[in-house]
Amino acid sequence: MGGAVTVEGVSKKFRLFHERPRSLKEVVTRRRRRSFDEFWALRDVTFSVDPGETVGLIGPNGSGKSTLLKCLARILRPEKGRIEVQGKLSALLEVGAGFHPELTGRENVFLNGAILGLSRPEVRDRFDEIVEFAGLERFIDTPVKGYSSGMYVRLGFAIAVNVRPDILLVDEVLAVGDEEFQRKCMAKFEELRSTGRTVVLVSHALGTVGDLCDRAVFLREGRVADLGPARSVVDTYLRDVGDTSKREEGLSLAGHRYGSREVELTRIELCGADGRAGSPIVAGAPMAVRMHWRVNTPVADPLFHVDLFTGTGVHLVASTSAMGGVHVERLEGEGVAELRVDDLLLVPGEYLLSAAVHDPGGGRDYDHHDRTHAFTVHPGDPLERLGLLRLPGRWQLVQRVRS
Amino acid sequence: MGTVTDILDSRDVLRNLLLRELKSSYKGSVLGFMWSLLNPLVTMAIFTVVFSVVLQVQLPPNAQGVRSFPAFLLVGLLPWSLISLSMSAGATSLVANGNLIRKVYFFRVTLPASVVLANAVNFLVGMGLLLVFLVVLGVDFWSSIWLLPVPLLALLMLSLGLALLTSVANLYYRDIQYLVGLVTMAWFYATPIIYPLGFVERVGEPWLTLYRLNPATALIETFRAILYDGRLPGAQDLLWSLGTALAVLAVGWLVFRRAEPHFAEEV
Repeated sequence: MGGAVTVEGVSKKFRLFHERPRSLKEVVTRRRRRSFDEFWALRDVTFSVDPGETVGLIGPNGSGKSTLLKCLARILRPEKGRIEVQGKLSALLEVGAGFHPELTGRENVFLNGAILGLSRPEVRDRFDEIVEFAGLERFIDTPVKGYSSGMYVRLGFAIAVNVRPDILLVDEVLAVGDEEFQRKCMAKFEELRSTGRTVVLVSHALGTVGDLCDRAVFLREGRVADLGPARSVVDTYLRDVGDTSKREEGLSLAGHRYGSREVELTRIELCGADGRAGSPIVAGAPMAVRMHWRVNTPVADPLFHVDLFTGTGVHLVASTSAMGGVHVERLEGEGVAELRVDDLLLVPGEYLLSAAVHDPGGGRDYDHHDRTHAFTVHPGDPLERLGLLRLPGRWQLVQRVRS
Repeated sequence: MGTVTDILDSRDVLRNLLLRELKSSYKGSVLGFMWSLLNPLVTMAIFTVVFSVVLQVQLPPNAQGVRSFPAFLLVGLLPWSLISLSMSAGATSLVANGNLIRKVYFFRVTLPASVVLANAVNFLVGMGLLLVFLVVLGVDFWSSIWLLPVPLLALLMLSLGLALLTSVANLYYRDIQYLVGLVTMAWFYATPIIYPLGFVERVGEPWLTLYRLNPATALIETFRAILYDGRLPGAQDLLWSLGTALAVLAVGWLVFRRAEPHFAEEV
């Protein structure tokens, strides 16, 4: 049923042009050779995927995951090495690529289906299923230029999953549409897996990779850094990311800072298990957020506030000094506010932190560092690594055996 | 992986891309498909007024004594339009589909090929109407029309070969799409379309030899012999047009296939 993929010593080079000439005039006037740097996006990558296996490609941005997927899909040709594909391969790199806005949904289903490798009778057979899956029965005969972006993506995805290839390449397109559509996508994906299709998946959702994939390949700077059972490769990746993020401690990532600055948060420290700023943060161990503050204009009864988000921006928890029963009539001078957590319930992964100080009602931000601090939770004693949080419960098992 | 299976697997892609070209090109316009006929008709009307009425160009009569400037012109103008449209539309065929090329693998030749075929469909409709017009005028082409598939094949090969070349060239240098307009204009006047080749014979050498080397001259002369004069074309014209068309197609194919692995990076 499923096909197999063999990748042997594959290297892919890109040229980074410095002001690449794009017109004949520039070519003629500039006699010397075009200047460019070479950049190896993939270096000597070797791995294989067995029939029916689901393999995840993980790694930080720019590590070559998408380049590798494009090489497998024959969109890019590697300079060195060999890629062997057995079976019909279909790539889901972007849903709805090649839709023509002036054509109707129906016409685009046939066009897109053909481009993805379906014959005309095959498209005709699956047409109703595609339209139903996309939930576009009423709009299928109107031009897609009138579609909302959600409708557009749903139709594209519906066509792609109905190609039913032996090997499916997926690049993070599972995260499309509303919740109901995502559920349908996951169900379809499970169906493909259970019917023995081979799947190669690029994802940043490490939980998904650990959960769905049999094996994983961890790419770092274009090389294979680890290869093996999905869970253990995900752990390697998390440990590796932790090591590099330690070096970048204090570096502001996404997010921004705003506020009226009556009070300023001059420094925000994340303290790990041993209480020192910058030490590794471990699941199930103590952790602290230390906010150094300075008052420019004295304020009454301010609230210190910490929010935690997942790496993808889902708001997990909020905690304020008022919740902790800490009040101060009048804040002046400078000092430190600290939030201590004895038992961190977060599962290993990437997180973002916001720290703020605002008025008692929460309507006026004095200083808000909105998702400016990224941190990694490393695997600790508890075994949980799926979902978002560890549930601090106690299990009990009662067993009665009749003899 | 082989080219042959690639081509066979791509029939449906080609068919769908062709339908896309045909359906989308005139969507939203009132006259729709009629525009593809209106274009050569208006061009013919303009040239007829300028050359036949104002400049008083005297055509020699054909074998049956018919003398019609519009018919004479259209027999050359229709095939020429396919060549020039293939070059200009071919030039943008890859660049305009960059999104597809970067995201999906499919047989890339289908992009310029579908553009050429869409124009070929318009051309064939025009040809059908032209044949009716010729019959009405009393042109007797029945003894020579069986040879028509040969110049048709040459025309298609030449158009496809040129479209393959311009599509790749425009990927690397976007000047090509503008340059094509100038080149086709010069080529149009350098080909006996609005005047008979006999006029060039009066000018003498070396012009005549240069004209003879022009693949479009041989091709248009072949069409004109078969349809307008109702006689068998010269073997030299027939072979030269077929041979050059095959050569252009072969070169276009090789260049295209060589550059193809890098399309996703260049587009």
